[in-house]
Amino acid sequence: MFDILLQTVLASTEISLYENLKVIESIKKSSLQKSENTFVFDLYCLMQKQKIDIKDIGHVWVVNGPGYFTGIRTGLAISKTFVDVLQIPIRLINTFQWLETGISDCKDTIKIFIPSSAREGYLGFIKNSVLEETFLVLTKDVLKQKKIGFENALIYTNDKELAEQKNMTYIEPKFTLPSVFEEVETTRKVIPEYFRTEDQLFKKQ
Amino acid sequence: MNILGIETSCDDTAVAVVNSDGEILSNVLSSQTEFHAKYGGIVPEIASRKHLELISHVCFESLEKAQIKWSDIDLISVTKGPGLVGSLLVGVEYARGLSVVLKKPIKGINHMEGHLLSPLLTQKVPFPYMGLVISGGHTEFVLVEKSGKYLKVSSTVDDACGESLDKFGKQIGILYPAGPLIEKLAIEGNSKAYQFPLPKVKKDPLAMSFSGLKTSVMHVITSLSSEDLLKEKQNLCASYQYALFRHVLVTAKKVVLKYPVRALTISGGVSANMNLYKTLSDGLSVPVFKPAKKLSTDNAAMIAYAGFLRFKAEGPDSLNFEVFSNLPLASYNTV
Repeated sequence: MFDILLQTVLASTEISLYENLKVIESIKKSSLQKSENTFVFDLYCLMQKQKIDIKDIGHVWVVNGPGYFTGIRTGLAISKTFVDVLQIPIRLINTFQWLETGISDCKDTIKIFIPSSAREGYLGFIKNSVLEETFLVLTKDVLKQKKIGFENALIYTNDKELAEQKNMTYIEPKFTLPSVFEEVETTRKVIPEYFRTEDQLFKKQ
Repeated sequence: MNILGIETSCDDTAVAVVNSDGEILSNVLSSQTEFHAKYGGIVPEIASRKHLELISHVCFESLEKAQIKWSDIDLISVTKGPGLVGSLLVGVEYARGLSVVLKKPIKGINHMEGHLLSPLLTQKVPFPYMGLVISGGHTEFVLVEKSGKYLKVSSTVDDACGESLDKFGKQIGILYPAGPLIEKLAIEGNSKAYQFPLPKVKKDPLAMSFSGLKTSVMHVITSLSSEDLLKEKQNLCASYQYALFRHVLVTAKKVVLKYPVRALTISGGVSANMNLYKTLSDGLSVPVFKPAKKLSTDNAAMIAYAGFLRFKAEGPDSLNFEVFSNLPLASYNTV
């Protein structure tokens, strides 16, 4: 049985095919903006290349936030069709837990920063694979760590540009599907995480 | 052949099923108006979230009303622009996903082309005709030589007509979308109570402009006391609506004179206004066609139908076609 992974929420995106939970092929793109029209096309090409029929798909894994809002909606809109037409279950993965697969042997609390727009993002604290806390923070405050309550801590991010600035360490997921996920079998339950409330949105405007 | 149409370019989530004879099997629309009304206009981020929330439900309802199954769909047609990118992407990605899981072809459609062809769904309109698309986002005249052959001949240089109605409505305390209530109040008012100038665009005699009219009416509104404003609401609505539609009529006369056509069609949200239809019908020498109310505002039946005509002429699109917030009809003069 094959699985599909849609990660469309980070600055660099990936569409992957798995066989028995091991990645067999993947398409990675370095820019969400440039890849937003090609996710389904890439997925189709991967399946054609691997001679996989749609009926051979067991699960669709989709990273559903935090991350860029457009990307979250894109991944969920695509995955909904698998539930709606073929009743293939969707496995929702939290972005922090997806990125954590890229960090090995860390006993301390891991701090990961995920941008959700040009100026802000989410800071998450993970300990022993459990997501303990998340905060919506301004990017500039993460860079000036004093403002968010700690100094000189090691913060991981999947954003290369941010990582190049001080106090950030670049991480890439290792294509290991996480053990923590939420499986949904109806479209109604496929909802995005980490969206601002309507009041917050309007205040910002 | 059954065509599934998906339209999410703005704030309405719409899915329809139309067959190759142009018969509408279902035309379902979920309006987000109440969610945006409290903000006085459409909030793009909220619109795209609602599309994501609603798309599956609207799709299932459309299939149920059409009494067909997923396997009965032969073509997927979806709006690819112009519109709000976040909203467009939800519909397009859902349509692309359907195309893969159903193994059916897909066609990306210009929203304006849908509007221009929508009168053909219910009436026999002779070619060539002049299509007026008039809504909160667009006000333009397009020469339709035949299906797929278009020439934009006039458009607004600033506000769209519907946008102008909404802005005026906001000033006199009418909630978004203001058009329907303005039309209702105008019936009880005197359209000659206030005189507003006829706009002119110096550089282009065929172009329209609505922002000057808006400024004129603002001067009148600010000169009135709140008591007088309440008393004069009907007269203001009638006079402002008259001024807007007179400008549209004068432009319509010019374009019909320059480009001889056999008919004029009106579509888009403002086309539901009966006074606009009457103004154009009485004032023009060519017959005026307007689609049924459900087809004049944004809907997916028009996208399904336009998709079918395009598919017949060009074949399917690739799965990686682009989505555009600003998609000119000029790029469609190819068929």
